[in-house]
Amino acid sequence: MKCDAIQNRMLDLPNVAELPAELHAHVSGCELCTRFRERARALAADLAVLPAPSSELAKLAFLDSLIAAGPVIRTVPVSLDTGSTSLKDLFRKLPIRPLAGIAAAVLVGTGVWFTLPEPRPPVAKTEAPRHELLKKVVNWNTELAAVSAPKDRVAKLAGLAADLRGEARTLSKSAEKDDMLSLALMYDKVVAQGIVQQAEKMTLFNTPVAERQATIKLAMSELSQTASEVTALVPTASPKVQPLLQRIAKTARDGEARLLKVANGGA
Amino acid sequence: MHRLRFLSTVFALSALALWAGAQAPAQAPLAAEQLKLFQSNRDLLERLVEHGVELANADTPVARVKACHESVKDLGRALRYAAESDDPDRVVELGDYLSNMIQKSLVPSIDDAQKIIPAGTDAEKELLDLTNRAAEDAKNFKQSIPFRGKIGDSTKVDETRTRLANASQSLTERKR
Repeated sequence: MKCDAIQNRMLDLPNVAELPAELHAHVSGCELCTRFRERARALAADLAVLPAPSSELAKLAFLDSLIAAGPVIRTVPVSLDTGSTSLKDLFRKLPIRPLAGIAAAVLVGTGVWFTLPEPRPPVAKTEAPRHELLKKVVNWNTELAAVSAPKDRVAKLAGLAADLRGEARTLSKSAEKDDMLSLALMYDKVVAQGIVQQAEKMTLFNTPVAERQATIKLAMSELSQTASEVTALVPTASPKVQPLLQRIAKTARDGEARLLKVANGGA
Repeated sequence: MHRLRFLSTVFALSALALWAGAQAPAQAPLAAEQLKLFQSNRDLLERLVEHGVELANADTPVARVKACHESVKDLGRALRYAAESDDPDRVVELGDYLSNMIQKSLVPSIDDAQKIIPAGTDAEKELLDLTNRAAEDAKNFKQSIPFRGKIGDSTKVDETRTRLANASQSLTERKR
């Protein structure tokens, strides 16, 4: 061991020819170390005369030596299970419960997403619905104010009566008794106090017969249509308004009969 | 077996949620809406029809002005009620009817009557009285529309107010 230590110290020396005193004492008395020293000195001398190799070649040689040396840590071969595995066994090994949970969560989430109201762009506030009959009645009043001849008034009043008939038809299934009574009373007024009275005045105003006949025919047609249409509504109407629909139909028939009388010159 | 039941339940619930989400919102029942409109306008309609029949039977110019004035008052009272109820849509609807009624019925009727009725008669006196009252009523109806709240914020109400102001001015010009 001592020789090894001495030889290692000799290799560390820049010039093995010049030994320190403590090494020289051993080397001079040790044949093995003397030979080692001689070899080292010969190698150093040989190396000194060798031409310096190209660094590129040195790198390549170094890489070659590394490749030739192979991996330092080799992969440990895994022993494969060569036993046969069925599809059923494979499914059994799958984590079914977490997968089912995820699938269920996705389905429920999709369902909830569909039920959520869609975000809507802000829209301008829409106006409240207007009652068409009110608008029509206002218009009829405006038009009635503009005419003075009985034949014109009869025509306007017949239009008003037609609109009241339309409202009775619309409300026949949903109206309360008071609502239909209100409509029936309005219809009575328009027919008995309006149409018939103005028709009777036509003779006083000396309305030409042809005009009188045409006006009365128009009004009678309207009243006849009301009588038949409202009568047809009765079976399907709400029971509480059926008598009131019958009343409207009767008003129309009575008005028609009175107009026929006027047409025949009986006013 | 338990697993299958669990998955089936989840699937069924999800399908139900999808179906429910796909349903369109239920449409408002038309008949019910119509009835509501009729009920809210019933009294006004009864009065307007009554005054419409009066208009049809008006044999004198003054009677016609009177019947027109009654229709104007019907609409004006309903307008005032709508204003008190802070209902801008209703104010616009009734205000437009009112200004139309004044401009297209009452004012022409007054003009016709002033042309026909001889000066110094009781009829003229009655017509003047009616005209003055109609002008005053129109002014009051216009003033019943507030400048604050929902009604005050509505630009459509502003337009209605302007139309009513014009109608009121037309009547004021006919006062003597």
